[in-house]
Amino acid sequence: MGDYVRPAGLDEALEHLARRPYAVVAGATDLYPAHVGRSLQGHLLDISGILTLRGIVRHDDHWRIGATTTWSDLIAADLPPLFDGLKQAAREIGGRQIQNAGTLGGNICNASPAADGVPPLLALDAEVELASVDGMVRLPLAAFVNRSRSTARKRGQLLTGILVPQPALPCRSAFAKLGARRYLVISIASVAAMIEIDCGLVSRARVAVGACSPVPCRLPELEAALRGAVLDKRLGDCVTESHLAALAPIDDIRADASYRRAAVTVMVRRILNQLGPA
Amino acid sequence: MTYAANPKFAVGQPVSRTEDPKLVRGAGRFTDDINLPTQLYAVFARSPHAHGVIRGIDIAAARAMPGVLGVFIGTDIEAGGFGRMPCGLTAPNRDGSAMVKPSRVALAVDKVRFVGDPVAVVVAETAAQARDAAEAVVLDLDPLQAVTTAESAMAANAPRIHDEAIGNVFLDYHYGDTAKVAAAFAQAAHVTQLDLCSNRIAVSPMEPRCAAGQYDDGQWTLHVGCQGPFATRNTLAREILKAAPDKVRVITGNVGGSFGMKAPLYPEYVAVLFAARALGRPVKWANDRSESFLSDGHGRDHQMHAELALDRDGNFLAVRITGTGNLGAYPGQATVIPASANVVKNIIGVYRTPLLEVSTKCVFTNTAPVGAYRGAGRPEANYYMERLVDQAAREMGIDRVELRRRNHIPADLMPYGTPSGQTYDSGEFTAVLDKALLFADWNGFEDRKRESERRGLLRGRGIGQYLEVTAPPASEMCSIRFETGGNITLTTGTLDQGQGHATPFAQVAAQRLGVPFERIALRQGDSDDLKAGGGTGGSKSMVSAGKAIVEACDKVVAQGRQIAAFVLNASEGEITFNDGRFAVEGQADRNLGIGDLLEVIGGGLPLPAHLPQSLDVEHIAQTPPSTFPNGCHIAEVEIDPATGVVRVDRYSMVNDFGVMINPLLVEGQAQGGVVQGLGQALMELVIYDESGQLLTGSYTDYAMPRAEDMPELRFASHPVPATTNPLGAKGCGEAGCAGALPSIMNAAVDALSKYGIMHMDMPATAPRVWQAIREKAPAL
Repeated sequence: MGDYVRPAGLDEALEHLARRPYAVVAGATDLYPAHVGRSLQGHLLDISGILTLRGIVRHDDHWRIGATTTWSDLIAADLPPLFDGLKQAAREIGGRQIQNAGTLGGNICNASPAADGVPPLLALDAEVELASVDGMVRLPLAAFVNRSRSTARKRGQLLTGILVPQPALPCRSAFAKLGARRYLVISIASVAAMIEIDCGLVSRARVAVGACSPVPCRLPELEAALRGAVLDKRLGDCVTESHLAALAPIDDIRADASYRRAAVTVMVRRILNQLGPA
Repeated sequence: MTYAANPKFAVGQPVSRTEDPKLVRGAGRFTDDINLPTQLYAVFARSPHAHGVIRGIDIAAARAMPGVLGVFIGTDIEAGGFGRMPCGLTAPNRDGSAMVKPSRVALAVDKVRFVGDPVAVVVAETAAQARDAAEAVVLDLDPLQAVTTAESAMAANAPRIHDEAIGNVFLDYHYGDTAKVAAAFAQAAHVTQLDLCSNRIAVSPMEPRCAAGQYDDGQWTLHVGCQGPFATRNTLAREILKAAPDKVRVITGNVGGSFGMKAPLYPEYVAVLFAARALGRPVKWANDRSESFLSDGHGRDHQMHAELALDRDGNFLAVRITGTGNLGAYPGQATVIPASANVVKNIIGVYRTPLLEVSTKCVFTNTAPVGAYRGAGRPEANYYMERLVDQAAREMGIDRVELRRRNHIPADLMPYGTPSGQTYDSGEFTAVLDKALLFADWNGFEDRKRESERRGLLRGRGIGQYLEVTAPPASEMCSIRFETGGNITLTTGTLDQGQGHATPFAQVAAQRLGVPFERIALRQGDSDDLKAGGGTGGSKSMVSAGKAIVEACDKVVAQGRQIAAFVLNASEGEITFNDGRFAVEGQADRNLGIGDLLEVIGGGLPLPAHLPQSLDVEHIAQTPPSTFPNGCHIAEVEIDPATGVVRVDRYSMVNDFGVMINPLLVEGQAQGGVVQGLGQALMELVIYDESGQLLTGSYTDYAMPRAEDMPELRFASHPVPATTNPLGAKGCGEAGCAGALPSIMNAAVDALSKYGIMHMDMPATAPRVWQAIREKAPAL
């Protein structure tokens, strides 16, 4: 293993990153299982000591979630129904110990196709904030997680926060996942949805699916079909197979592609029905 | 202070485990907690290939790494005079020839035979140094084709894993009268057939395997988690070390679960002893979880064709089981019993089936050796039979409850001789079934089913009525020592692996001797203490140790009577013993408690030489015959037809464990067994790819059940005391699996029968269930 640095401030962290490449860690919940029985190569930058990177703050037109905010922080935070889906995902990520250590920023940067945090953040139209010694830039989350196990983060950049726009209208959101068990398991498929409501109609919908394509992705055809739909317990009935054409599920030992495709269709329908009035 | 038994710790009371306060404080002493002065650390280099000829093992780079004191390979162990890994069990092939027993050097010398096969042991000052150096061991292999299933291993063109084993068959097992069974099938009005898999399991105890070896001037010591230090010591001394038994000591502290897996002698234990002698310092090794998946004995992995012949009225005429057991790469660590003898013993269960035939081929494959796992063939046999019964009921249009009742062995036929050679001493199988139906609200099912259907879910119910034949007789030891100050040390040859022996054993001794429960401590796990001891396995410890304890207590009383007669100035024949007090018959005021006697003895009163000089005893008992715990478990499942997700919604069980010494611990054993059964039925499966690589090498890919997956496990009893042991107890440790596999799977098939699905194999995972539904109802 190379050097291990744990700066207390963001500027110091960015200076380290500008000097040479580091693997960035906070909770290290993905780093450890990736190195079972193998020693770490390269240098580690531990950002868990930078207190300003942790926490959720409301601004006028958006929310800012610090990169090292843990799943437990999120679950405990007092947040509007907009975040119900993200909170549900947080509750099903790993066990309590993982939720206490794992961070939202880490879940995004690890870029697993099965990252449970990504679909609900896609449904929230989140952006990521990237800092470097040259300044701050923002990228849509969908552009940031660009390939399986790969992001658009450039050398010298650090993901510092996640920005979620505050919709003008009332909204609802939900998340569901399917695995061999409910918790502590890699998803066979995960689904997140968010709708904005105007006079009982869906004025805007975003639906995202994880573990069924190289990176979690949204379903724009379905979102278009939902616009203007009556919000009731049968909202999901309009889902057709063609709405899920963007997905490319794989065969593995957990499930084969045909099962994933069928199951995710059912899950999308159900999650939309669930968003209807109680 | 009174020195007497407190009724709240009497036999039958739900006493909490006395070791738990220590264990929850983290004060247990597991093998990895042992640190010997000047100890070194071992790590194994393991084969990354499933099958190959070893061209060379280059240890030079590893040997030169920092902190490394030694790197040893199989030829070193052979040259050091160590024996090869033994295979103690034996059974004849169906043609009468002897089972082949290929030998194994602890570290592979000629070939590697599975991914994880150890080829070198690296010993260093620290575990991290040893780990780094183990990565530097270079294994030069000529890879061979691998076979991972019994079927592919028996194929004509399959590579031969051991030269001696033609067709890779380890044992060609047969039991039964082929002609008579064939005649019964020929005459049958109905034959039910199923192909059933008992899926391969990663045993997954919380405490991984670990061993620490020591050699000092001809004296060997091995600290290891096992299931009985006496047998482990004897095997080690005789087969491996070629040393007198008194030169070898095996010590086991707390064991964090074994389930059969830690019972055999493993190659790592041999290697740490070898390294300890070679280097003159103690050597410790602890498996990590990834290595556990690769190198621990797996469980189950049988594929059986099961057939039941019935007459027109549904009476069972014969049962026939034909199939294979995948035993993995080596004998010794593997055991043939689950796929052979235990199928024979347990397939009869609670039914009057007059004929049986079992034919199994136990086969070598390029996978981890397969050993015993909770029940070791007992749950499988019950599973096969109960699946056949439900299937026959469906096919013949007979109610499944009625079909069971019609075929039960009636209580008034006890003792009952089975065609597998067992004699059931007791059992009320129809009463157990009836009680279970009431307890589970069997008749309320239709309402619950309608309610499930309102939510778009299928609902099914299943019965698993099992009977297990617990381990056969052996010898077992109990010694009782009265310490100065009144504490009592009970020593047994059985070995706790989390069952909680200390509490019920003390309950028995306290009640028999009339002494305080709190004063009794159980000592186990040191072979130097033992003159006999079969260890713990096969659901027998309460029965076998119980008899040894009862007889040892009787000896204490006999000695006490002699001493009391002398102290009370009476003749021995006049002395009675009740509730812990020796009294002169008819003169109740002339009496002495055991505590008083201990004071007299401890106080130095000279006792005549012909009298026992203490109350201490050491006793070896011939243990009672197998017991026949049985019960009826009823599961109800809900299945989501759109996703295939199966959830067990209700689970009720009525068990006959005879006299329950401690019902709290018995219920815990039943619960644990059901949890492991649910895991096997619904989610657990070890998968190797065709080249022999383990795909399910972590809990990311191997699903274990969690609390969230479990319904409330409702527990009730119908105890019929065993007549063959003094406590009336029946073994309870493995029964949960035997009830859970068939009840859950019968319930799943019952739910799926709506779509005409008549069969589902374990594990009934969501994708498999969905696939089965899709094939029958494509439009869904």
